Amino acid sequence: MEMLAQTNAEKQAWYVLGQQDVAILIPFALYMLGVLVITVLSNRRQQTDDFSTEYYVAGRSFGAWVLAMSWVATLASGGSFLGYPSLVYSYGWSMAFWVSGSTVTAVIGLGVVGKRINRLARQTGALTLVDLLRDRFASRQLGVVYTVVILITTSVYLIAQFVAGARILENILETSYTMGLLLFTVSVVAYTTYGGFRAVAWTDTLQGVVMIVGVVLLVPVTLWAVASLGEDRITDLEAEVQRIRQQAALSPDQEETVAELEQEIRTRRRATALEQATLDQSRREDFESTDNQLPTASQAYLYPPGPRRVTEPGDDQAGDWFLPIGWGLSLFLIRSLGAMMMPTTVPRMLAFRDTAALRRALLILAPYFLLMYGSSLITMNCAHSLGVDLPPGKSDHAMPALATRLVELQVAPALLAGLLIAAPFAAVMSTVDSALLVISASIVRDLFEKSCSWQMSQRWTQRLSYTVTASAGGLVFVAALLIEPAFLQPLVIHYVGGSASALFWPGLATLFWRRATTAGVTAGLVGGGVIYSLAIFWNPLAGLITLHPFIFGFSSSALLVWGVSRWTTRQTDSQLEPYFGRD
Amino acid sequence: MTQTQLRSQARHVRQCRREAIVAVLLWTIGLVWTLVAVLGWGYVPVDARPSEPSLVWGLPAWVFWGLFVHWVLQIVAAWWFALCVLKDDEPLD
Repeated sequence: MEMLAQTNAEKQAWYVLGQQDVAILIPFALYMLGVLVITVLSNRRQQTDDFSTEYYVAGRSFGAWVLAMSWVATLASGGSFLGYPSLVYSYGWSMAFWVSGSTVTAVIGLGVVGKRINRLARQTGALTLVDLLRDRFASRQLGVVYTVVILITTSVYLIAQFVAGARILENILETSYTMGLLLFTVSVVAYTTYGGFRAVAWTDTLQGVVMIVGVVLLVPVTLWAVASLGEDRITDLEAEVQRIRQQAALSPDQEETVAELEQEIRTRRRATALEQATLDQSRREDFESTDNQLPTASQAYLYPPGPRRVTEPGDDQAGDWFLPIGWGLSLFLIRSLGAMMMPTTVPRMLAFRDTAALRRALLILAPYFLLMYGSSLITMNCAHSLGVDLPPGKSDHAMPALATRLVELQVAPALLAGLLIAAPFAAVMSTVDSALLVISASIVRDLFEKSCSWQMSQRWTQRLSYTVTASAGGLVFVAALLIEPAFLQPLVIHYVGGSASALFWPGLATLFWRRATTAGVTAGLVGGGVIYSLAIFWNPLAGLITLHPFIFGFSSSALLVWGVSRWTTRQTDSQLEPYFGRD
Repeated sequence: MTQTQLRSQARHVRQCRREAIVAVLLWTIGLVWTLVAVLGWGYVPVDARPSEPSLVWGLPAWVFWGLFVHWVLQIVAAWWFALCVLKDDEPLD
């Protein structure tokens, strides 16, 4: 099969779409149609007096559902729907610790800064977080530095996401990587450019729903499949026992085998589907490692740290084990704190209508993460029991492979598989569109209009915004053609970790700390970013404890903001009053 | 800004700080819970692992207590935060 598919792919020209299966194409086509309709509707809204406010913050009009879904869909990239399942497939239950920071992401992400950013933005007319920083400290340089940091981190992220989007299309449409990338670029760039933030947020909402429905439906279907395969296995075992018993006399060895088989039959009869899958995981011994001191003992897939698989994604610095304690702790911090000041999610904080919208968004979002990651954790731990067997280095295909396998086993309708294959695409699209707008807002609003004081008419702002959004997409297309990162998840973590290292403390200090100064915030911004980048290559505590570079960037950024602010002159009361009030 | 607006702003800042502190408390509880569960029952040395893994509802026990139970409690806490802690912001003018 594999060989056949490969020769076919080689024969067909790069632009040919080989997919003939209607069940896969229908959900995908419906979804794309939905996106198109939303874009056209959004564009009509842009014929208002204030193009920028509409294009970049959708007139500050978001209700709860749009806020909640667009926030989470932006946060959940291809990493959540391809990368995370891929890691669970490779490392089993250790991934429960890996994802544990997500338990508090919603409260931290929406509860700490949402209300404050929203009010200050309305008060000052800010369209980006950079506007807020620049205004509070009355410093253009700070605005430029912040914008540059955002541009660097977001571009790296965009490249990874473009590759992911292209790979998914390559699979869905059975075409070449180039064609996948081209189609992906054209569709995303078109609706982002044309529809602006409102189209992005509305399509994100659609995508947020598509994504969660897909992964949650997968859980009962997978467990059902495990249960029915378990029954087949029991029948096989019973036949085996019968076969041995039919011989006249049993040797002691055979007696023992029969006893073992009967024990397994009893265990399997008692066990629920998930128990069977977990027991299968506990018996797996199919790991390789760079370190021969690793335990070859059983249950390596049930407890952290896991056996390192050199051909699978992980994090290169994490050492010979997968997820040593320090690394797991780092990930808790990244996953729980990273969403707060992330360049792609913060724009939502400027766009919601009122506190009631924020409150209801939090009500909706709190269970969302559990459904999203909990589902993948369960289904991908069942994948091995269902015989999803991927060649080394291909685990990023685990999620679509599971969906295809369920259709093969005739437990899932083909349409569900189509939906599941469209879900990660929705996740990637909803992240890319937001990131493109962040880049466009940074360049048009923060660099041209504010930092260089360009005076532009409404029409020129509109033209420039369209041009910048589209060219950013074009540039990333070229980059994604030239660079193809091997695995998605480590890059996603670098974006979250890197942007949090640089942006978290400066942003928080601007919003909440009177004593913060321009110098302090700039130092934290640059220092956090630089130290994060250095720590990727050199770990100062190597040999002692394995920590993610984020820990170094994040903590030194905090120290720099605090120390340098203390050391420089505080802002005057008249500068502070608009932001902190007076009793 | 007028005197009234300045007072309103000061109240807004105080309320936002209060909410932020509650959110950070929830975060701290989450961190401690996770570390206790994972260090106590997750990182089990190979020779200390029971031959039959202890499962709750088919999940490894440390995953059940350390992740899923905690997660459900955090969801309830987030709802409490949204309904009881997060107060409506005063209108700007």
